[in-house]
Amino acid sequence: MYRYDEFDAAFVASRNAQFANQVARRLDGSLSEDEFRPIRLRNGVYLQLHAYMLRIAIPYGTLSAKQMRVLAQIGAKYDKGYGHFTTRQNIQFNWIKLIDVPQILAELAEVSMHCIQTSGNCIRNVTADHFAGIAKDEIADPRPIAELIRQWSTEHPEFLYLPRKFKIAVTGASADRAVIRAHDIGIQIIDDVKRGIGFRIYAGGGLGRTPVIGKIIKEFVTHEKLLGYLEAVLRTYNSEGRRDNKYKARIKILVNETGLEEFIKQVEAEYAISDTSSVDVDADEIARINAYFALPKLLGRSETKYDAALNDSAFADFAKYNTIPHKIDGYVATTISLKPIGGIPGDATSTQMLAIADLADKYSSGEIRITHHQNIVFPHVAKDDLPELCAALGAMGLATANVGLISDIIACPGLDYCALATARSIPIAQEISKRFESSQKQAEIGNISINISGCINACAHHHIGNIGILGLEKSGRENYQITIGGDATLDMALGERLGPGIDAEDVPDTIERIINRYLHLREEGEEFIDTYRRLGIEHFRVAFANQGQILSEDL
Amino acid sequence: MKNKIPAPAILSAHDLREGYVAYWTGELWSRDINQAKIAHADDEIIEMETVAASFIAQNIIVDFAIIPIAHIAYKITSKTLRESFLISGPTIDYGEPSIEGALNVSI
Repeated sequence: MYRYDEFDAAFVASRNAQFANQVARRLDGSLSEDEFRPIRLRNGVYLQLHAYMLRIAIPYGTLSAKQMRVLAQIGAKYDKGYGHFTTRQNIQFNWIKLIDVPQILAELAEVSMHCIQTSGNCIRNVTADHFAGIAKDEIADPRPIAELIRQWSTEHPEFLYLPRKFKIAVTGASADRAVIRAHDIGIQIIDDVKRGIGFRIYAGGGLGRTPVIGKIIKEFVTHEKLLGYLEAVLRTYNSEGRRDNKYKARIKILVNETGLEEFIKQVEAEYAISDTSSVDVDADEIARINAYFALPKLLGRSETKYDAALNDSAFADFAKYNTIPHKIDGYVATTISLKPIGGIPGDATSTQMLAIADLADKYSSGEIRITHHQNIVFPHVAKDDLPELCAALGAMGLATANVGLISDIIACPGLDYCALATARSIPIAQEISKRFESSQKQAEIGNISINISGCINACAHHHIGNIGILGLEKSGRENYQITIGGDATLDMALGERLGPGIDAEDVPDTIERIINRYLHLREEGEEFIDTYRRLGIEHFRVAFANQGQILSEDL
Repeated sequence: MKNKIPAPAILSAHDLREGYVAYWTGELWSRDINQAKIAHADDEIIEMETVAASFIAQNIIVDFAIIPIAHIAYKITSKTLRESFLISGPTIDYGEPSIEGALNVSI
C-alpha cells in the first residue's frame, strides 16, 4: 500500500494547522459564514440538513486496518457510532461538531488521511477498481496511476478553482468496475500490440441533472506523457468551461457544446504548446510508485477446509456471491456486503469498523478496499481461511451473501441527511431489500443493480442502474421516477423512464412487478439487462401501468 | 418589507459550534421543536428574521430558515417536505449506536 511521503505529511500538517486557525477565527467571529464556507468545503466540511458532515478521502478506495481503526474511533468519539461509505469510495460522518473538526483532522493525519479536495471546484478524490492488483482480468494495476494523479492533483495551483468539481476514475481491467465513463475523465489501461501498456482517455462523462456518457478523446497515451495530457485537458476546461451557470459548468457540457472533434482539437493544440517536462514521469518514478503496490507475500495454502465448508449452503452462497478468484491460486478477494436485509446501504457501525480492521489484519494482510457499490473488500483472503472469516463476519452482521444481487442496492443519504435532497432514498432501499429478502428469490433473479438517488444530482448513479429510482418532490410529497436499462459497465447506457413518478409506498410493488415481468420474459441464461436489451422498454411498461394491480401476465 | 413565508411559522437555524438544528423560543435557542415560538402574523415573522440576523452577527447560529408550519393538536409540523424532515430528524431507526471497543483504539 502507498504510504505518505515527507511532502504529504508536511503538507497535511500545515493545512490542518491553517484550518484549525480558520475554525477558531470563524467561532470568534473574525470570519463570516460567507468567508468561511468555501474554506470549510475545501476541507471536507459540509453543513447538511441536521448537522455538519465530514467527508474523508479514501484515495482509490484503499485503506489499511490501522486507518479503519481510526475511522471507527472517529465514529465512536465524534459521531453517533456509525459512518457512511459513499459511491466515490469515501466515508462520511453525519453528526460532526465544527469545534471537533481540528482534532479529528489531527487524528486522521496520524494515519495519513485527510479531507482535502473532497469538496469544492477542484480535482476530487481519484477512484479506481476496488479489485485493483487482484483481478485475473487485469492488464495492469490502476492504483499506481491513481496515486500518481493524486500526487499531481493535490493542491495543484492551476486547478484549485475550476468551473466546477472534477472527478477522475481509473480502471486497469477488461471489465470496468470503476464506472469510468460516468466521470469527467475516465482512464482505461490498455495493452496495445505495438506500443505496449498505455492509457485510453475518456472525457465528458457525468451523471447529475444532465447525464452524459464519456467519450474517447485519446486512444493512447504513454505513462510518461499521461500527466502532461491530463493537464492539457484540464487547461482547456479551465479556460473554456462555463462559469456563468453552475448547472452548465461541468466538462460534459463543454464537450457537448464545443463538439467532440473540436474539443479534441483544442486539447491537442493546448498539449502541443505545453511544456510538460515538469510533469513527465520517467521509468524510475513509475517503478518507485509501483513498488508500494506490490502484492503481499501470499503463501501456498491447502483448500481442504474451504472445500469441506461448501457443504454448508449458507457458506456456499457467501463463497459464490461475495468472492472472486485472486491472481494467486488458493486466494480470493472477499466482498463484505454493507447491505444487510433491511439495512442502510453503505453504513457501518464503529464496532463493525473495528471488527473489520481486526479481521483484515488476520485474514487480508491488513488491506481493505472500499467499493463504489458501498461495500468493503478484503483483497487477499486464503480460501482455507474463508469459513472462519465468514463465521466471524456473520457474528458482526456482515456476512450477507448478496453481492451483485437485488438487495445489494446503491443509495445516497437522501432527504434523511442531505441538504440538497428532494426525497428519501434509504427507506426506499430498505423496503425493496425486505421485499426480496428470500435468498432463493434473489438467486433466481440473478445479477441486477438497483440505484436510488434522492435528487437529480444522482450521487447514487440512478441513471446507470439496471433499475434506477430517482426521488423528487411533487406537490409537497415524495415522488419516485423509475428507469430501467441503465448499465454501469464500459457499454454504459442510461436508463429509460418507465412512466410518470409514483408515490413512495408504491415503489416496492412496482419493482416487484418489473422483476416478475423480467422473470416471465427472460430466456435461458439472461440477466435483467440482457432481457431489457433484447425486448426494449415497451415489454416492461405493462408492469408499470395499472398501479396496485397484479396482472396475470406478470406472474 | 414584504414577507414571503406565510404565517404561522417558526424560526430554525444551526448552532454554529455544533451544527445541530435549534429553534427560537422567543428568548433562547432550543433543540426542542415544541419550545419553538410560533409567529402568527407577517410582522412577527419579520421580527424573527431580525432576531436571526442578530444571532448570526453574534456568531451563535448559522443558516437560519423560517419554516411555515401547521399546529395541530399541540404538535408542530412543517408544511413543506424538506423542512418536515429537518424537524423530524432522520426517519431511519438505527437502534443503539454500536461503539463497543472503538473509543480507545490503539493504532
